[in-house]
Amino acid sequence: MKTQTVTALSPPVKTSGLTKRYGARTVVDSLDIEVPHGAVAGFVGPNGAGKTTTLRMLLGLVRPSAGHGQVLSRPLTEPQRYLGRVGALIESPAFYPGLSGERNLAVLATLGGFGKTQIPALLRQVGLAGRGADPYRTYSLGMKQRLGIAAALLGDPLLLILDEPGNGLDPAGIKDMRGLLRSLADDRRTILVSSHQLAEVQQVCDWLIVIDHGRRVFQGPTAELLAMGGDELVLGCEDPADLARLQALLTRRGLPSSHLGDRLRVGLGDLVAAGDEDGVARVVADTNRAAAAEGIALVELSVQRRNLEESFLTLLGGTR
Amino acid sequence: MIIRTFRAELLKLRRRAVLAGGGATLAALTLLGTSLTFVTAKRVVTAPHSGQYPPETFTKLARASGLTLGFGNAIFMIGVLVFVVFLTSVTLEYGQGTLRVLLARQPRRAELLTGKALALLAATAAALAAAEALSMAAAIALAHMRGIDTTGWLSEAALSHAAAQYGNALLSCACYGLLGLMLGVLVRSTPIALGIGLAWLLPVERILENSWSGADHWLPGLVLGVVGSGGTTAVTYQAAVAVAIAYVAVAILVGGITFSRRDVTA
Repeated sequence: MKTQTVTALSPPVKTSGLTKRYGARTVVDSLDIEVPHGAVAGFVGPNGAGKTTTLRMLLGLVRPSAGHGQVLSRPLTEPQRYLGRVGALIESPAFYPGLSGERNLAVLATLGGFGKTQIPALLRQVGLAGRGADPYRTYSLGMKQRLGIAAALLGDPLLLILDEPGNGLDPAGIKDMRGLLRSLADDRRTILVSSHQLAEVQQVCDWLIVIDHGRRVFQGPTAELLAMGGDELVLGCEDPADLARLQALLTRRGLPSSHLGDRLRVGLGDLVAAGDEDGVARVVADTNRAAAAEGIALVELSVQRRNLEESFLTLLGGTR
Repeated sequence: MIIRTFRAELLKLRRRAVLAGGGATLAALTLLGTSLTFVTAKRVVTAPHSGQYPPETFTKLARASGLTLGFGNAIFMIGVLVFVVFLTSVTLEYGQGTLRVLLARQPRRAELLTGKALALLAATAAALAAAEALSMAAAIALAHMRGIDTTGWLSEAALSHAAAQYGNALLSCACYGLLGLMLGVLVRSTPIALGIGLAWLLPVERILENSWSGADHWLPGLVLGVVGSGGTTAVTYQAAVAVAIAYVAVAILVGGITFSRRDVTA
């Protein structure tokens, strides 16, 4: 995961009370989000949460019903003032089926006023070097997705907005995409990526925005969400008969535990601050020593980290 | 900005399938109109014709204007083709989702639409010039086959008629195209827009023409037909142009405002 590089610069994406209604249905509901400069921000939420509508509003495709926002310090009402420095892939990639990948990029480069000379390099960057001259209609879903990324990179944008960039990619393609996103996430560029692939988001994104029913339910560093609910310490004894003694020992030491099959687990959330790796290590070492002193032989002493999927589901469970 | 959009649109138009498909259809319609004009021409019309479109006479075809009379008679069909091409050029952008990609690059919507229209009009102008040349070549061959005197075609007046016919065809087709483009903007769906447009231009207007004497003064397809033929005995060229421009102006106003303000969710 990239180190968080939040700077004092104004956030490239910021919304306040952003709302979109279609008739009586509110798709995005008073959304306040902020993506720090230089962040790789994951934008996650269940289907129908309002992610794509929000991204469309950021790109000037959909007019907000209420609220306001800024992209690259320009108001959402004036997309022509910022879109020249924003690259986007919204929903599935959409190109002209009869044109080659190269010609499709040439159309967009011409439209955006960018040079066409960058096209071969972009095709190479996304792994389409040998297929640029082929008609788009012959591309696989993964290749279409790659071409969509190449299109988003035209003009070397300061902000990338990518909606499900991993869709249709095979595992190798997903790995390549992860590498590509990391390479693109230099200090100068900010990336907002919407995805259902939470494992990928966890690996790539340092900032997270979670929405549900059009409302923000979390915003902050990814580590903060992962730490919600805390890590767990899992302990197993060589002799199962020692389990009761071990539990009593843990309770005496202020580590209440519960059974996990023939093992014990201890929640660390209330004991160690989020992200305090030294604190976790200290608890592990102290527990190990105390067990040894009591003559209890441990065969397992491990820290179970929550993954983003668990944290996400816990978070959404609390909002439903 | 408009120039960028214009150039981007030309890049899309310059593809083999568009050039081959559009060119072949245009050539076929041009040759059909020209051939029908010469094949159905009568040496002398002896009895009043019962149909709506009486055949041309050898005498009329032998005049300086005869060289491009066939092209003039093909304008309605070519106009419908241009209508379809302009209409689908925008409905397919909605259908394929490419509109959102274009707008993410060029958010000035009015300029995007203007650039697209200008590129299509430029392509139409070039295609019509080629179609008229093809029609004239076919007319010469058909005139020889039917024994029509063509000495009047090799005159300055014939050249002047050809230029005027080209101008009329271009104006008529530009109006057809812009009406198609705006219908596409309003309806967005290719089959629905095509259904509405073609149903109106082909059967509906023809039925109304048979039942209402003022139809060719006011109905858009018929008015554009009058513009294409340079005026008729019933409707003057100037009156037809004025009505056509009014239709196009209203269509551009409604379509332009809709395109600029409507959410793009496709």
